[in-house]
Amino acid sequence: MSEQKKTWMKPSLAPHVIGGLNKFGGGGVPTHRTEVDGNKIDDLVARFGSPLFILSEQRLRDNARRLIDAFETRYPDVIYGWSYKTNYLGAVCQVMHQEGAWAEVVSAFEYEKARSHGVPGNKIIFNGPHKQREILEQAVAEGARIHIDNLDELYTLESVAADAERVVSVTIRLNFDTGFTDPWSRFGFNIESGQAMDAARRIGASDHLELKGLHSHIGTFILDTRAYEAQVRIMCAFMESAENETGCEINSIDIGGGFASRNALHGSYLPPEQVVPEIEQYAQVICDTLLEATRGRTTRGKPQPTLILETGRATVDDAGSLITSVVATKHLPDGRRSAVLDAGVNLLFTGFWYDHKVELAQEPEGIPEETVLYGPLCMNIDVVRSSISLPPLSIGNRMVISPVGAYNNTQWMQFIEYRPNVVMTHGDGDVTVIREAEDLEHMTTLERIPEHLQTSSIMENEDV
Amino acid sequence: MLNNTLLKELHDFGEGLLRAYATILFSNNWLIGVLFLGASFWYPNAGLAGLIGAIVGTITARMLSFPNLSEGLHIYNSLLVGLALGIVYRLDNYLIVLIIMGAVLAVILTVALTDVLWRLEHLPVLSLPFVMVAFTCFFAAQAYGNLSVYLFPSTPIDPLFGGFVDNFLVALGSAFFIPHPIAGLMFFVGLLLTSRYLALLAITGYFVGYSLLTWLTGSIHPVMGQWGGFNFILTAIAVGGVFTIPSWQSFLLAMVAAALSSVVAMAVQGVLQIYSLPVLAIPFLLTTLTVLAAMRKRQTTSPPHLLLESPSLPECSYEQARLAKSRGAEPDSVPLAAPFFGSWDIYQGFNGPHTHQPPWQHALDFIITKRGCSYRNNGTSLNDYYCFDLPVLSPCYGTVVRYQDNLPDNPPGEVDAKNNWGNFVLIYLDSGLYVLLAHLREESVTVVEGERLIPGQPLARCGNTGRSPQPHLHMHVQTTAVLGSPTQSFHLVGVTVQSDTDAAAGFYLASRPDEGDHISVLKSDGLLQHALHMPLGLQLRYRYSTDESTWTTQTLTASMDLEGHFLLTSGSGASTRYMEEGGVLYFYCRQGPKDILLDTWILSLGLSPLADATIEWQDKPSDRLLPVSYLHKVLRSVIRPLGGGLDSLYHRVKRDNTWHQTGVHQLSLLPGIVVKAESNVEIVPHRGCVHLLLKTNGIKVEVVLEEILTLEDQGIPQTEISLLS
Repeated sequence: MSEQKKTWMKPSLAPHVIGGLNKFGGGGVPTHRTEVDGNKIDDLVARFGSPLFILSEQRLRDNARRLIDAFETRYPDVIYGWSYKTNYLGAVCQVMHQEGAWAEVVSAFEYEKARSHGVPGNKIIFNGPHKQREILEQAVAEGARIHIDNLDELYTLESVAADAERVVSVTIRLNFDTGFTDPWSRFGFNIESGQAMDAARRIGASDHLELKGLHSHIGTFILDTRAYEAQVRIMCAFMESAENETGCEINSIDIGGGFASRNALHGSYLPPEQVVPEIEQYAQVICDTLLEATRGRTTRGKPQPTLILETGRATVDDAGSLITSVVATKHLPDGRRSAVLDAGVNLLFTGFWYDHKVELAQEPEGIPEETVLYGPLCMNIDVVRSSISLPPLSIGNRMVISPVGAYNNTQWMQFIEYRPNVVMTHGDGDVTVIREAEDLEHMTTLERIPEHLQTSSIMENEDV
Repeated sequence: MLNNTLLKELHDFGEGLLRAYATILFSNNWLIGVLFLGASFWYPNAGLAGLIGAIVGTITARMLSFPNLSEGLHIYNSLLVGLALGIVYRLDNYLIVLIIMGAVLAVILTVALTDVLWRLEHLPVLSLPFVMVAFTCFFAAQAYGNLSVYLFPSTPIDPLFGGFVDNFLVALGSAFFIPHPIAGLMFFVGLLLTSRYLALLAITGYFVGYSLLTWLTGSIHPVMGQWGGFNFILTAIAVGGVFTIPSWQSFLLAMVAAALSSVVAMAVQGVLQIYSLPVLAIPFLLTTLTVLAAMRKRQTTSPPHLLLESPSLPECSYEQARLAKSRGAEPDSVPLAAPFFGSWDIYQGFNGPHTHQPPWQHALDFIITKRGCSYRNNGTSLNDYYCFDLPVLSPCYGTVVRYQDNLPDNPPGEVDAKNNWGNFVLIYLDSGLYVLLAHLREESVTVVEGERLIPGQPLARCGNTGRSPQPHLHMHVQTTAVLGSPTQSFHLVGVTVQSDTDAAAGFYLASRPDEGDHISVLKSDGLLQHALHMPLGLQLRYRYSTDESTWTTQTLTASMDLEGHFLLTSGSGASTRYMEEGGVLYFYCRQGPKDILLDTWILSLGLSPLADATIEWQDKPSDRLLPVSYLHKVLRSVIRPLGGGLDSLYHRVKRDNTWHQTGVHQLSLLPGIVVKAESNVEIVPHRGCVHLLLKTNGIKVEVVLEEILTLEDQGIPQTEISLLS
C-alpha cells in the first residue's frame, strides 16, 4: 500500500517569543466557521460576491426584543428609539419598527428617511446639533419630539412655533460630568455652569414652547454601569429643580445610548465577553435608579416620566458580519506576515477603534504567527488589524469579521472601491439583498460634466 | 317663595305617598302608585283606611325626620296597617284613632327593625313591621268594644275569567287586602308594567304554591288559595326577582321558596285560627327572610347571586349582571393590578394542578418564558432565569402587615419544603382581606411593616425561596393574616391576555388568566387618557340630530355622587356612572329617562381601554341604549322578559392624529331577527369626543361637540372653549 501523499502546506518560520503566554490568555487558537446565520459562506460568496455584509434578521429581532423586555420588565413606561445613524439601511430600520421601536434621527436626511419608512412624525425623536429651519417646520407640523441642542436652535424653534401658532412640547439636551465618563460638553446645555437651567427658564418664559423632556447622552461604549446610575440621578435632580423653578412638568427622560456591544476596543486587555455588561445589567441600574429617584412623584400629582432609550450599537452590532477574501499575501521586512483583503477601512470604518473578531472560513492549517491584515486601498492607513495571530493564508482564503452591524453601513466610505452587496438572512436559507453593490453607473449618476469637458485629446476613437 | 316651598313640600309628600303604594309590588314608580291607590278603593272602607294609614305614616316619618324618607318604606307599612284594619272593621272615629296609633307604631317599628335586621344578617325589613303592628292592633281590638265589624260584601263575586285565573287575581289583590279579581287585575297590570319577569314569577310562584296546597289538602282551599295565596306570589317575586340576580338557578330557588311558603302558610293558619286571625304576610316573611339569610352563608360564587345590598328590578339587575359578567367581574372578586412591569406568563392559574388546590385554589404563579423556555444559557444559575431579580410591585392600595426576606434562594430545581412561602410580603387591603406575594428574593424587600403602599410601587424582587423549584412569583388574596389561610377569588385589571402566541391579545376589564397565558401590562396612552378625561365640573355641550336636519343642543356634565361614584348627567336628568382606572374608562349603572345623547355616548364609549396599541375588545351593554323600533321593543318585552342585551365588538385605530373608535352592536331577539347597529366616535387630542355617529335600522344619530365648559365653583369662574368656528 502506498503512503497517502501529504497536502502541501505553506512553510512558516516561528520565532520563539518570550511572553507568548500571559495571564490574559495570549493569542489563543484561531477559530473558524463555515456558516453565517445558517448559510454556507461559500454559497453566499458565490451568490453575492466578496466582500459581503450580512445582517441577521433574527438576531436583530432578538436583540431588540431583549432590550425592550429588559427595560419593560423593570420600568412601567419605556420607549425605544432606533438610532438611525447606527444603521439606517431600510430593511434594518423596518425590522426595528416592526419590533415597536420609534425612530431617533439627527439630521434632515434621517428625518426624511424615517418618514419614508412610514414612521409618523409623533414617533420620531429629533436630535442633533444641525436642524435647518425647513426641517424644524416640518417636525413641528408633524408633532415630532424635538430635542434642543443650543440656544440658537431654541430661538429658531420658538419662531417656527410662533409662525405655526402652536405651543410645541420640547426636550432639552443636557451635558454634565457623571464622574465615570468624559463629559461630552459639545452637545446640549451644561448643568454645572447653570446654562441648562437658563435654557429651562427661557423655555418657561416662552409663549410657544413648553419643556416636557430631558435628554442626555453620556458617551459611547460605556462599560461601567455606574455611569448610568450617576446620569439618571443627575437628570432627575435637574428635573425636580427645573420643575420647581419654571413650573414645567417633565414627562420623559431620554438617557441616550452608549451601551457597549460585544466588541473589543483597541488596547483593551480583557475579551469583550468579560468586560461588556449584559443588557439586563444596564437595565437594572437605570430602572432601579430612575424608580428610586422618581419615587412619590405620582402621589405628588407629577407624571412618572417615560424612559426613552436610543440604543444603537448594542442592538445591531452583533447582527452584522463581513465576509472578506485574501487577495494577496506578502512578508514584511521585519519578518511579519501580511495579507491584503478585499475589504478595508473603506467598509470597516469601526476598524479604527475596534479589534474585531476575525474567524477563518476554512479549517486553519499550519502554525499561527503574527500577521497584519491590510485593506485594498492604495492608502497607508488602510489597516484592518495591525496584529493578529493567524496561520499562513493564501489567495482566495476567506474570513468573517464581526461584529460589524453598527456604524459601518453608515460611516463607510465610497473611496477607491465600489461598496459591495449587503444581504439580510431571514432564516431557513432565505437571503435577500438589502443594498445592492455599487457599479459605475451608481457612482456617476449624480455627476454632471460641463459640455466643454466632455471630450479630451486622449480619448479613444476620436473623430475616426 | 313660600308658595313654592309649600308646593314642593306637597309634591314630595304626594310622590312619597304614591310610591308607598307601588312599593307593595316592588315598583318605585309613582304612576303605578296611582293605579294601586285607585284599585284599593274597590272596597272604599279599606281603601280609605289605607290612605289614612299612609298619610299618618308620612306625616310621622317627616315630623320625626327619619332617614330614607324618599324610599317610602315606612309609609308602606303604615299603609298596610290601614288596609288590614279597614277590611275587618268599619271606618268610624274609633277605627281612625286605632289606625293612627297603628300607623305611628308601624313607622317607628320600621325604622327600628330596619337597622336591627341589617346589622343582624343584612336582611331587608319587608312588611315585618306591618305584621307585628297588625297583630298588636287585632289583639287589642278584641277588647275594644266600640269598634264595629266591617260587613265585607260577602255576596259571591261574579267570576271574571274563572278558575285559576280568578284565584290568582284575588290572591294578588289580597296583598292589598282587596280580594277582588278586578282590583287584582289592576294590580297585575301595574306589575306587568313594572316588570314582565316579576309578573312571570308571580304567576308561576302562585301556581306552585297553589298546586301544592290543593294536592296536599285534596280540595280547593278557598281561604288559603285566595286570601293567603299572595304569600306564594310575594315570596317568588322577592326570592327570584328582587333580591337575587335572575338566572335559572334563582328561578328554581324562587319556586322552592313559593312551595315552602305554602306549607308555612298552612302551619301558621292552623295556629292562628284559634284566635280567628288571618295569616297576613307571615308565611312570606318567614320563608323569604329565612331563605335569604341561609343563602348568605354559601361559600361559593356560583349562582344564584344575592342582591341584598342593592335590590332592584330583575331587568335592571340582569342587565348589570350581564355587563359585569362580560367585563369579567365576579361578585366578591378582588381587583388587583399586575404585580410586575412588562409581560409575564402564567405558570399556574386558579385551581392549578400542582399546588393551587383548596383552600389555596385562588392563586396565580407568574414566570417569564421565551420560546417556551424560562431561562437563557443553560439554566444552571438563577441569573439565567428571565424573571429572577425583576422588580415585584404592590398590586393594590394597602398596608404592609408582615414580611420576611432572610431565607436563601434555592438553586434551580431545589425546594425548601420547610418554608413553603419562602420570603414574602403580606399586605392588608382596605377591604379587610390580605394579599400575599411569595417566593421573593433574599434580602430584596424594600418596604417595612406598617408602610402604606400604592399600586405599582416596587417592594421586592422575584426570587426562588420556599417551595419554588424555579424563580417565580406567587400571588393570592387570603382571608386572615395567618400565612396560608383560605384564599379568596381575585382578578387582574389593566392587562391584556394572550392565550396562545398566534392569537391577538385580548382586553377584559377584569382578567382571570389560565396556565400558559401571556399577560402584558396595558401601556396607557397619555394623550388618549387626557382627551377622554372627565374632571368634575366638566360640561360638554353637544348638538345632536336623528334626521340630519333638526338639531337639539344638550349638555353632559361630569359630577360625583354622595357615594363617591363619578356621574355623567345629561340635561334630561338621565345619568350614568363612570370610572377611569387601570388605564380604562368605563360606564355602568345607567339611570333615568331615555336620552339619545347620553345613550349614544355610552354605546360608543362604554368600555374604552386607553391603550396606545390597536386592540379589539368586547362588551355587553344594555339594549335599552339602542334606539329600536316600537315593534322590536314590544317583541323584546314579550319574548324576553329580561331583555335581550347587546353583543358589541369594538376596535380603535389612530389616523391623522384622531382616534376612530368603532363599535359593532347586535341585538338578537329571535333566531333570524337581529337588530344591528354601528357606532363611531372620533376622539381628538385635547378636545375629546368631537363627533359621534350611530347607525341602526334606518335611524341615524349624529352628535357634534359644540362647546367645552367647566362649571363655576365658589371662587372659580366658569370657563368655556367654543368649537363652533
